[in-house]
Amino acid sequence: MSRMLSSRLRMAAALALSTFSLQGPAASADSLYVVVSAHNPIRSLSTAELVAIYTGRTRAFPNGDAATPLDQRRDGAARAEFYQSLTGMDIARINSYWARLHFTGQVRPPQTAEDDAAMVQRLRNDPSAIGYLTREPQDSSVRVVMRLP
Amino acid sequence: MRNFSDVFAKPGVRRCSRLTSWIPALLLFASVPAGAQDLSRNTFSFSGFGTVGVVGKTGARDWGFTRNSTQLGAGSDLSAAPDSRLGGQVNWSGGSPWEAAVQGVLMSRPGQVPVRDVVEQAYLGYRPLPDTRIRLGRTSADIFLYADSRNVGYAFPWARPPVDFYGFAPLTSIDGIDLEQRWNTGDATWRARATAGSLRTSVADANGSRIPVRASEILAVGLSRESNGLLVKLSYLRGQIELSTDPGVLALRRGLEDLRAVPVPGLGRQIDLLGNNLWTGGITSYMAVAAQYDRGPWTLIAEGSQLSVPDSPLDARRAYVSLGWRKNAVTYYGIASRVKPQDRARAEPDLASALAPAVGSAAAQQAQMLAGYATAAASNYRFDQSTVGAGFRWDFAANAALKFQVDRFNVRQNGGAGWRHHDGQAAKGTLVSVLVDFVWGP
Repeated sequence: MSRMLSSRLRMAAALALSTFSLQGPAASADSLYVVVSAHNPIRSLSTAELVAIYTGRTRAFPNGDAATPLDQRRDGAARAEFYQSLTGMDIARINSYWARLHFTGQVRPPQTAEDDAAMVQRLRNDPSAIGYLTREPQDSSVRVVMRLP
Repeated sequence: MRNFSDVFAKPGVRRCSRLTSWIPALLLFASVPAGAQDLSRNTFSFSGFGTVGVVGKTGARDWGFTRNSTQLGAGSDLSAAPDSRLGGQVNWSGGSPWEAAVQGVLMSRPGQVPVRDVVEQAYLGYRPLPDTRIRLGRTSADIFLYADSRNVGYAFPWARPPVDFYGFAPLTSIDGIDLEQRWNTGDATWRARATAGSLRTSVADANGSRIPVRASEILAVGLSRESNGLLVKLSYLRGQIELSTDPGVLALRRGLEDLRAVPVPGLGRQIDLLGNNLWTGGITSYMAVAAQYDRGPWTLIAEGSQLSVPDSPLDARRAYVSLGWRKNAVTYYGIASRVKPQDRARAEPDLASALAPAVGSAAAQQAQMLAGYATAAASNYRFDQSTVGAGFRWDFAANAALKFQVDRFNVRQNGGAGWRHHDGQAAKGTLVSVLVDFVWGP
């Protein structure tokens, strides 16, 4: 019985490890990692450049290539932390801001990824995409271009 | 999705107004369920917004409050009609360079308004470069800070955009072509937009009846610069506007023209001035400057504009300033606004004395009555009022806000064009508004 329990524990541990093999443990509770595809030539971004992309003021990276920003889940804590850290605005103000841009036809809000794994999956397939993760990625298919805060 | 490119290829589809009618049909033909939010390249999404609210009025007895000139307006001192509305929007994204959207808004409007007036936006867009966009169809004119989002209550802090400034804004949409370019210089983001086209829409007269409006040869340009929380915007619009006025106004105009034939010195000048009060169309131009400073808990918003409609009582300058302060989920704000006509309201001229020797006293009295009607008609066009208000916005949910606002208004003599069933007299009063704004989907 104890051997069976031990085996199940090992399996659970292996499953947990495989789940986190994509991303390492969070460096700190408040850190977010802004990432792009490894195929994207961008190596880093300034805060102003990131703000411009995530507030719809530009649809391009500094090198002129198209930028497609992605958000974490709309009502999730990661999205609220990201915008608070990047723009200083709470999520209600951000939602109001994006509502104005969206309903006036200026810019569509970023599409959303359900979690870090979905975000990484999208980034792998789209060199124009930019997103953020709650844990430092261990996957070589994406590249960290900024850490917040 | 090649149907969209077929729109361009179809030889008969030349006019953008026809294109506008195509786009909703194409979008609604979508087989993808509304509200789908996947990450695929070719996506449809459905989103919307709305407001449920009431406004109570004291003062200005029997007048009906309106949010803008396209509305039917309040039918009583306590009414949900001016602010309550529901909007829906379908967006299509066909890969990075192509996009389309249709937006419709249901709200209190005059009777017999055609369906096209319900459509606020209906366009097909193409981005040859990431920060360059070309759109065909119905788009919003980039001439105010909030005109294009005036129906999306959740997008602005107040109960409604200041009526003194936004009350007369029938040309918020244009059927035509729209070009937009964005660029960056240092920390500043610039945006330039130019829109050209025409529009057929409706406004309501003082009694709440529909007046068809036709605007042509419209050119609107806007330039904005945003840096470190400060947005500055300059805009200009020019167009030919024609109002389809009711037969009564046309009869008045004919009567005045008949009077002009009477050989009385100085009469022609007085007839011209009275005729200006019965404006039915002409070249209209609009210039505006706007600034918004949003930093930390503070938000300062100010706009000023000049509407130039030569030889009409519509000529006016408008301005407002608003200061807001946010603490947690609540924004407290104050707002002051003013609209002032370029020309003073003219008193009814004494035609009877001058005409009696030439046409007899009976005919002179009839001419005097005509002058009285024409003088009174000016107040159907003249906006001359100021408003001071204060309120708060409470974001009680991630996609909804409760607003409470109290306004004190002061309408000058013959300046009540923003009200339904006004009597041309001066009036003061108070508005108390309670609303809930909400959005879903974006």
